[in-house]
Amino acid sequence: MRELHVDSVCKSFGNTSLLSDIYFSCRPGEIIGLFGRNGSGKSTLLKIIFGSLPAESKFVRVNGTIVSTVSESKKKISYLPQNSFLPSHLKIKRMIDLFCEPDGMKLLESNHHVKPFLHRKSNELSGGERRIIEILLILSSSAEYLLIDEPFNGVEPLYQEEIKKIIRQHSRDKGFIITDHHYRSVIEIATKVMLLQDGSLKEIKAQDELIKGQYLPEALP
Amino acid sequence: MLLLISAFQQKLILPTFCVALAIGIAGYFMVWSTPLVQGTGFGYFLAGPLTHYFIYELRNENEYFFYFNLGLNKITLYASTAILNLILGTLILFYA
Repeated sequence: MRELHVDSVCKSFGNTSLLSDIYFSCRPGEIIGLFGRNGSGKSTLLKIIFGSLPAESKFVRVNGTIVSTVSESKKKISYLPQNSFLPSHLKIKRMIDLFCEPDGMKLLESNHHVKPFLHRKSNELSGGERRIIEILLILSSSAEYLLIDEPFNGVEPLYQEEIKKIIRQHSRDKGFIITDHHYRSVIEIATKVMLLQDGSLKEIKAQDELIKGQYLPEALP
Repeated sequence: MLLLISAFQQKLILPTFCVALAIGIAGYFMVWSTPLVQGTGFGYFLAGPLTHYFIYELRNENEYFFYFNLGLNKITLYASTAILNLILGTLILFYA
């Protein structure tokens, strides 16, 4: 079955348990919006699934194959971290050449968001420009499951709309797990919403539950 | 994979050379009174992992994710640094 299956994720820092027995699954076509208060362990969970952070226990299976390290995640799971991950010493064109398969490479180089910056280094771009290039890079990878950490953070509304459009377009054949505090943008594109609270994950059916779960204030602006 | 490693190492070439040279100069003038070139050769053995740690672990930790997404892990990246600088240092010592 085509599915990202995550089970038995436990993570503690010292004596504090951050994640306790997390389980969920994601299929291509699904966009899971993952909410949680600051420090609830959203980014930690994504890093554990990706394989870049060890956990006390975890079970991650991608389309029937067990995955535990970043090497095993290659071409199966891609992860967009909270802060920019583009190497500052490389030009955008070189990064695309390294990151993409030949078909995706041509497509990405001709993209109107990328084309003007091909011969510039990432540290010469603004935060928003960098973020959209990062998202396009991650989306053009051959991985079927994408873990996206705060895609809208520090990005102007025009780019936010563009990012939502791009994610929707790619969600037909990829599965997404997105976490961001721009909850309206996430809810707009998500097919399933989950809340990480007190170390456990629960599915949210209505926005009221985010208020009850103490993620949203009672009086919304 | 070699292309990826070369992209990763590109950032370390100049700083590693500077640190290795500084070790060589320090050795020449102060500590061991070794010839400058030999000191620099030995310096590479230490400078490679040291520069790697400083530049990637302390200053640009997030850049690791670029390489992680392409299937390289930290062990592979550290090993590439160690092997590359071992070769460079040995070559310098050999020709000195």
